[in-house]
Amino acid sequence: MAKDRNQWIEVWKRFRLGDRFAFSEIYEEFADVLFAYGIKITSDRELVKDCIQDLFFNIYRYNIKLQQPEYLEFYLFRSLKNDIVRKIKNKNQQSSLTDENVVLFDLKFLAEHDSHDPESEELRIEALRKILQTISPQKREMLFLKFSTGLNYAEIGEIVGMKADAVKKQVYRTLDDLRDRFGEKLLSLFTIFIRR
Amino acid sequence: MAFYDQKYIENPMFTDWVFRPNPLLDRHWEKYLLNHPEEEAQILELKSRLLELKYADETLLPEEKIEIAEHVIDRIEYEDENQKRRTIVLSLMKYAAVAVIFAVIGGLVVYLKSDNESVYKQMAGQIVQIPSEGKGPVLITASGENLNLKKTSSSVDYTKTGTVVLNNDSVLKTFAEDSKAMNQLIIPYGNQSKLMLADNTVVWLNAGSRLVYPTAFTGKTREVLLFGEAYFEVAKNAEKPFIVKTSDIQIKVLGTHFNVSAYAEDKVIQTVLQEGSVELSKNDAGIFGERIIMKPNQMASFSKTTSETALSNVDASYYILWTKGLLSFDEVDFDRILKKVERFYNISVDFSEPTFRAIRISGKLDLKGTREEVLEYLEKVSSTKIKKLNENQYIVNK
Repeated sequence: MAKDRNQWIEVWKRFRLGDRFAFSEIYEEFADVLFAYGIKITSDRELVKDCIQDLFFNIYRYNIKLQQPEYLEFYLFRSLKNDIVRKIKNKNQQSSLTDENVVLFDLKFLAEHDSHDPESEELRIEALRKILQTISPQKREMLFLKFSTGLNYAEIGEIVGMKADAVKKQVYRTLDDLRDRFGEKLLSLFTIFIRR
Repeated sequence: MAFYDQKYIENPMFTDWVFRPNPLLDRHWEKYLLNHPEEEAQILELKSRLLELKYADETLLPEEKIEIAEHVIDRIEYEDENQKRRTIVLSLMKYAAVAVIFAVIGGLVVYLKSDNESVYKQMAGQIVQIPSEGKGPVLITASGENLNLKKTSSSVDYTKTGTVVLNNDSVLKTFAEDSKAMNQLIIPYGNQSKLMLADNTVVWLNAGSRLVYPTAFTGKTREVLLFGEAYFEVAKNAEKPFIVKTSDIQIKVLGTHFNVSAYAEDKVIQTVLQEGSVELSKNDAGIFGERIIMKPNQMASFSKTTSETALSNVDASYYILWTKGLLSFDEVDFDRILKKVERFYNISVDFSEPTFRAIRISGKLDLKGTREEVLEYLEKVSSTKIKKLNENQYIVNK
C-alpha cells in the first residue's frame, strides 16, 4: 500500500537516525516522479538524471546536518527544481528564464481516449490545446504538482512562487474551464453527427 | 464551484485512482460507485475532465533508475573510503536482479530492525558482489569481514566456545560484537553450503541462496532470514522457537527437519516438513493472523499472487534429496526442474518454444554428475534436444 505523509515522515526520521535502508525506500519511491517532473522543466535527459543523482547523494551525505526534517517530498521537489534551474543557467540553455520560480514547464498531454472517430479526436485535441495554451507554464507546473505528488497547496505555492490560496483557486478554475469548454465541444460533436 | 469537485480533488485516493490506477483502487471505487449511484455521473465526469490533464510522462527506464542509484553508491563509497569508514549497506530497488548478481561493496554489516517486514525488503534489495578472487560461497561476518569459502561445497560451524570453523579447516574467533548485528552466508549459483548455527541447528543452503543469521541467539526466539532454498535440522529448544523468515511467510518450529524453497523469482514458496512440527504464518499476520500447522510429509505451497496456502501430502524425502546431490521428480513441469539445474550449475537455459516449459517429466538426477550428463538425461525424459549455444547458455529444441 502506498505510504501517506505521516509514514514518509517516519521513513525520513529513520533515515536521519542512520537507517540506510530508509534511504533506499525513499529513492525507490520518488526517483521516477522526480524524473517526470524534471524532464518537463528541461528536455535534457542527462541533466535531469545528474540532478537526481546529486540530490540523493547530498541527502545521504548531509543527512546529519539537516536540522529541520521538513516534509520529505517537498524537500525533494524543491531541491531538484533549484538544482535543475541552477544547472540550466550555468549551461546557458534557456535565456528566457527571468525568475527562479518560473520555468517553462512543458506540457505534453496524453491523447488517451481511443476514439473510433478521428474527426472527433481532432476536435478534442484542438479544444484541449486552446485551454492549455491559456494556462501559463507556472500554472501547468502547479497542476502537475497537484496531481502527481502528495504536496499540499502551501508547498506547491512555495515551489512555483504563488500563494497557497492562489494555487487552490487556479486548480479549481482550470477544472471549471475544462467543463465549460467541453460543454462546447460536445455540442459541435453532436452537430457533426447530425450532418452525417 | 461544484462541491463535488472539491470533495474529490482533495481526496488523494481519488486523484491517485484517476492518475495512477491500480487494481486495489479500481476495486474501491467500483464498490463506491455501486453504493452511491447518485454520485456516479459527477464522479465519472470529473474523472474525464481530470484525465485531460494527464501527462504522457517521460519516465526513467528501469536500467536508468538502477544506474543512477549505482552512481550514488559509488560516490558514497568513495567518500567513505576517503574518510576511512567501512561502507555499509545500501539497498536498492527490488527489481535489481538479486538472484543473478551477488556483489559485496566494501564490508557489509546488517542491523536487525524491530520492523520485521522492512528488514526483509531491505535484504531483498541489496546488491551483493562476490569478490573477484574467489568463486565460492561468501561469508560476511557481523563485524563486516568478507570471507571466501572457496570450495563449491563448503561448511561453516559456529561452536559453543565462540569460534567459527570454516570448511573443517580454518578457525575464526568471533568477538563480542553488537548482539544485533547479523552474519550473511551467500551461496552463488553453482554452489552449496552447510552451516551449523550457534544452537547446533544445521542448515544446508542450496545454490542461489542467502541466509542471514546472528552469531548467537540471544533473545526470546531464534530467527533467521532466508532467500532461496535451505534444508533445516533444527536443534530442539522448547523455550526458544526457531523462526525462518522468507519474503512473505515465516515458519516457526520447536525442533525438527524441514525444507523451504523461497526463491525470489518463484511465484510459490514451498515448505516441506520431514519430521517434527512447524507452524506457518504470513509475515504481517499479527497475533490473530491465520496460522497453519504442518505435519510430517506435508507440503505447504504459499502463492505470492493469491496469498493463499495449500497443504498437500508428499514424500518429504523427495524434496530434500538435493542435500545429497540428488533430485527426484514426478510429473513436474520441465521449466521447474531446469530452473533448479540452472542454479546448480550456474548456466542459463532458454526455450525455443514456450510450450516446452510445461512438459511434464519424471525421473531422478544425480547432481554430482557433470552438467552434460544431467542435460542428456533431461533430454531423454522430456523428449527434447538441448543444444549448447556457448559456455553457459543452452536452448531447448524439438
